[in-house]
Amino acid sequence: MTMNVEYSGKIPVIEMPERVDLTNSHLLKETLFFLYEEGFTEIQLDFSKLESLDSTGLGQLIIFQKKLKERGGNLSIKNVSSESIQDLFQSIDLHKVMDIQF
Amino acid sequence: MKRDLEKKESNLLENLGRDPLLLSSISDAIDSLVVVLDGTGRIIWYNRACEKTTGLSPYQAQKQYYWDIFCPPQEAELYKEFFYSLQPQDFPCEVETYHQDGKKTAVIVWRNSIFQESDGEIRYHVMTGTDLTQNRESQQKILEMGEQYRALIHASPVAFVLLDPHGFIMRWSSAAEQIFGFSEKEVKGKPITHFFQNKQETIQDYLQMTLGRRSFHNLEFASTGKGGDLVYLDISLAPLYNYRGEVNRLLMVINDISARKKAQQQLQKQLLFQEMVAFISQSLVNISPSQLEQGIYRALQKSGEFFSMDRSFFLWFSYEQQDPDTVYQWCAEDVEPLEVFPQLQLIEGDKPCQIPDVELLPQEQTDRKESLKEQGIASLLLIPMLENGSVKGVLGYDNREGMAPWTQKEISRFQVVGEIIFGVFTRIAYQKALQKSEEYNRSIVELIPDRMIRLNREGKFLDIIKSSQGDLFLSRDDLLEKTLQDVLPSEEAYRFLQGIKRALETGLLQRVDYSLMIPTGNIWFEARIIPYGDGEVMALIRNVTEQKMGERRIQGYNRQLKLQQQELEELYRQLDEEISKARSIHETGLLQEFPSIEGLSIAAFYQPAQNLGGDFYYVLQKGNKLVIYLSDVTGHGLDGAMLSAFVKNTINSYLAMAQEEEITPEAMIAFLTEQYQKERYPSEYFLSIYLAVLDLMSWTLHYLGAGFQDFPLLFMGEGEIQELDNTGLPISPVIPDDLLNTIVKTIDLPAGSTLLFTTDGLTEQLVKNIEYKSRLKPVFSQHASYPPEVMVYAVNEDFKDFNQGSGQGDDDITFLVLQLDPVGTKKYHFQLKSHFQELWQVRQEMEQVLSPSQEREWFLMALHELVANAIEHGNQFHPQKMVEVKVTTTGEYFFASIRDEGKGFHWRERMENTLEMEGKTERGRGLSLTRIFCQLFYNEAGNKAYLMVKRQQRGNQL
Repeated sequence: MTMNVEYSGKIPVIEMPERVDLTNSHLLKETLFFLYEEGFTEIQLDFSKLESLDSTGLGQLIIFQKKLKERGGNLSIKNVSSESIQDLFQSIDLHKVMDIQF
Repeated sequence: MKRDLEKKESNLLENLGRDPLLLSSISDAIDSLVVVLDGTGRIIWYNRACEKTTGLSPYQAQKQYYWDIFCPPQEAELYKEFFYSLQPQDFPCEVETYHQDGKKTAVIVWRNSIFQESDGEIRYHVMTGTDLTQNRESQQKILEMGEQYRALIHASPVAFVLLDPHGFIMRWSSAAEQIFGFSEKEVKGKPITHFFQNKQETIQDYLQMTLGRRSFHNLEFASTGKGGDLVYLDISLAPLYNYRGEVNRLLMVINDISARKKAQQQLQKQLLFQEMVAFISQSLVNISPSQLEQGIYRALQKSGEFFSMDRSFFLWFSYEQQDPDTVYQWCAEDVEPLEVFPQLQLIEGDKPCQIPDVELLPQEQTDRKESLKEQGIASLLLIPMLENGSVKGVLGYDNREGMAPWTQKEISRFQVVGEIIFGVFTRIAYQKALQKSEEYNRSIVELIPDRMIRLNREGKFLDIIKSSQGDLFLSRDDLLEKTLQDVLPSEEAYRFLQGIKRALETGLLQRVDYSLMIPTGNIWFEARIIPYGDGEVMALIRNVTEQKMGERRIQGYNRQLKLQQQELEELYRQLDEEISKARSIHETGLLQEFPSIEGLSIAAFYQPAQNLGGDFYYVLQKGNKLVIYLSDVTGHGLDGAMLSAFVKNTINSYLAMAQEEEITPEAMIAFLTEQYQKERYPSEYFLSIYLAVLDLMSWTLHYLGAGFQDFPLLFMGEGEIQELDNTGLPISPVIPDDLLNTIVKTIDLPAGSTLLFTTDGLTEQLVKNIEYKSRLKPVFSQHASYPPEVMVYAVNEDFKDFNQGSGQGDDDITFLVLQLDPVGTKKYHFQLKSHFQELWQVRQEMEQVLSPSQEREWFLMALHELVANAIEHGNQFHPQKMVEVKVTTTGEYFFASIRDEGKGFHWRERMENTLEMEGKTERGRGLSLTRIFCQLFYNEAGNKAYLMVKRQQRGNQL
């Protein structure tokens, strides 16, 4: 089981659920891994529904950004609606590691 | 008569003129040029010879002026003037003309004569010319040849001396000047014999024989030049003849053969030197020590004679000292031997010292000069012989007369002699030393108690250097050609062989013990095996039976000691266990978990100075009374623990028996004092206690201290920090009851009040003469509005900072924090199973009770991370293990404690990690992420996390 993936042109966009944490971060990992194996270099994450993200979810973002970057690609985040997540990202300077659209 | 002749001539000429053909025929028959000129110089006629010279026929030349034909154009005018200037009395005359004939210049000498008219007028000039061109050329060649010879003679290294028949010098070539040093001018007219002082007669004889037309070659003579130098000459003599064939001069040709002669002499000397060296070598080679002295004397004599010296000597220095300890000397006939030898200081480094003439020593060496002269030394040569860079021997020669300086070549000859003598002497000396050393070694070997045997790789006995009888119980002869296997039990032989193998492989000494059973018992031997030669070993065998017995005795003692040690260790272990149990009991009594009281929070800290502490604290609720006390007793061992236990038991007994209204500080201290006196504790034991009773209905605090100097700090929600000062003397058998403080003080505590009780271990910790007490109040003040756990953590961190990084105090550190919950405080309690699904329970409930805010999100996120850690890492999803979560919220903070049932972890180390953003790891960001938003710390074990988020502000520093 993976998370829902839409395509914006040729770029896959993963729709993040309300929460990503220890209980379901493996789904994010599997989805990202599937797309990575498919050969995608650009992957987007839609955060419009996401309200909570823990360290395990954050870990997946950082790991796959590194993998895609090594391939010459990029993992980007769009539609970050949650203020706490926005605050989290700003606090850890995640925008220095990957593209983030608030 | 003259007139007759003139007349005849005139007639002849006249006749000739009449018969020109006849004249022409005559003149053409001669080789000379004949020209007849008229009085003005014009050619009337010339003969065929002129035609040959000028290339013009007589007819072509007729009427032309003589000078235009026979003189070069540039001289024609000159000749013309000359011609006209001639007067009759000038004839006959001679004149020379140069006639250019092609490239050659013909030189003609003209003899002029004239025919005069009777009136004296010159009618004809008759010129007969002789062509001297060839003559002149021959003359030139002769001249040139003479020059060449002169140059040759001048340049020749061979000297040419021209002597008159009496042997006096006429000519003297430049080579002769070179050889003898005199110029030609100096020697001209002097007898040649002058240069051959010792051989004058011989030379004279040779000169006489040369005059007798004999020639001599390669006569060898020695002569002395101007400078007195001896020159060797090779002389040839030959007579020179005049045109009459008479000997009128002698030619002496001299060749300087000094160089050749010297070379011959040197060669001769070299041959003689070689003979001498051969003699010395032969006489010294293989010389026995007993013949050494005689051999060296002969060598000194031979070399002394060869070098024409009066004395020769050889000195040998066995140590670095100025005086030789071995001396050999030879003296020529009638020469006295030296009694004192020249000192070694004369030699500089490894260079020979040569003083060819003592008289020529410079002024600054007057002392040396006088010293040598006193010894009768006029010339001296010292050749040092070195060994390892220092002078070990000296070969010396001296003479009673000064000598010419020795050349390097000569000195090298001396050195050769010296090397031979020194080499032989050193060899003999070392032979003697070696012999001595061998004797020494032999005597050592004799003294060594060990037996020595030589074995090969296979364990075969090759040599028995010292009898091994008794070691292997076989005689020397019996052992030779046998192997270890033949004489030792197989197991012992195998071990011995292994030792040989190891020694040969490693090149290192190996030790092997082996034993032999004899009727009287076991005998032990130790073999020390060392490699010796190719595939062989030397084994030193020592009887170590006594040693073994000793070792066994020692081993027996050691075993006993070990047993005793083990017993002691067991005793210590039991004692440690007892102490550990006592500590456990003591610490258990300290209350890790405080009673859960509505509206109240308590936290405490205890750190013993040693294994067991003398401090104690306790909190006990009875009804609406909460009893809090801290005690500090004498001693930090079992005695301290027992006294603490006594205090606890006594107070607990009292509380058990007492009615609620009887629970007062003064009553409890009175009871404690009474019981303490009853127990008859030694007089040196004291008991200090601070006791407070909190009325849980009125929040009134009653407090009383005995022997406590550090008063509890109180923060009443706002305002200044107060000290609850109320103390008296400590409880002791030597202090009467009536002297104890029994006056209780009281204070009403408002909500939010925080109290800190402490023993003196914390406050009296001294670092750089400063007590921690000075820092406690500010820390308390800063954290008094936060949960007691936060206060405990903050005080401990500050104490560590004060105490140079260590949490360990010199005394027990005990403090307790009590806080009345601030207004609006809410508390939540969760017991979670070790499953991730439980995470949502806490979150959902907390989301419901906490109004949304940024701080709430941070707090919940951090709580989520910590609970997840407790489930996953602490309890490791163990179904039986629980995670306890307590949450306290006030208007000022969100606080939570999360406790799992795991072993804990090194949280301080992990807390130092920063958030990993490079993607090196997938997990492990929980703690570092939490710390960004929250204040986080753990209990010492690391299985209880404390988390606080201050509301309306953020930061992770406490």
